[in-house]
Amino acid sequence: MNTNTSSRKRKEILLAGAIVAASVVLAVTGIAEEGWPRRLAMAVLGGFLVVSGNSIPKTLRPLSAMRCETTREQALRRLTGWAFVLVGLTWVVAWLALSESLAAAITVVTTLAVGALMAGHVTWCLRQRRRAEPTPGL
Amino acid sequence: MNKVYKALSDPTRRHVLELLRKRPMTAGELSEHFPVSKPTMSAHFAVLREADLVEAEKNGRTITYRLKMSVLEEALLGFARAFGLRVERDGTTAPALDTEEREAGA
Repeated sequence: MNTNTSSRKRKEILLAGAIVAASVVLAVTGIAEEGWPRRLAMAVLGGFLVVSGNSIPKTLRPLSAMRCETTREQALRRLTGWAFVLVGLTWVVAWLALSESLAAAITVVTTLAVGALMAGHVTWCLRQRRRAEPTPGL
Repeated sequence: MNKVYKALSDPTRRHVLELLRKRPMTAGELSEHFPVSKPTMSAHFAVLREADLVEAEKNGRTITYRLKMSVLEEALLGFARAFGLRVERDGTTAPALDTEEREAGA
């Protein structure tokens, strides 16, 4: 366990160092024209949404106060994961390929849409009580 | 990822995952959907557990399976289902065989 934790922390530190180094190089050399740091930052944020969203259905456990029927709980986790991944991919493409104004508009629209979808789904889930359904098995 | 590919390469296991996408189910409920023996189904469940694609919760004598797939793994499942792929022993891909065909061939 300690070895895995140390290895993960080392990777996280290296990644953070690479991001800082790249930022410094871009700033000092003037390679990045105006606006690109913001584009890259938003694209990286989109990438973060993709990576974190990918693992949500696998690792996220709702808070006990939010527990609902297992079927709905599972559907909520899957929906959350897919929403994060699709929104993240949209951000990456939009901020790297489109104009800043269009990318910003897409960011706002997708964020509001996903927020509304998640709020509606959580409300639907909270209306149900968790039911235990034991049935004979192997 | 090799364990995931192995798990997704069998049509029976893919069908199990699709059933679990609808709702968590007990081992007995899952077995009712397949014309194979219980030991065979247990082996499939073991492969899926090893690949960390399902979560097993034991409640007395009942085992309930729940889906535990990341978004990427779900996408791979859709891809494998669309193209009916299976992974050969030498690592190459080929059209999928039914479990019974594979058991007969082995």
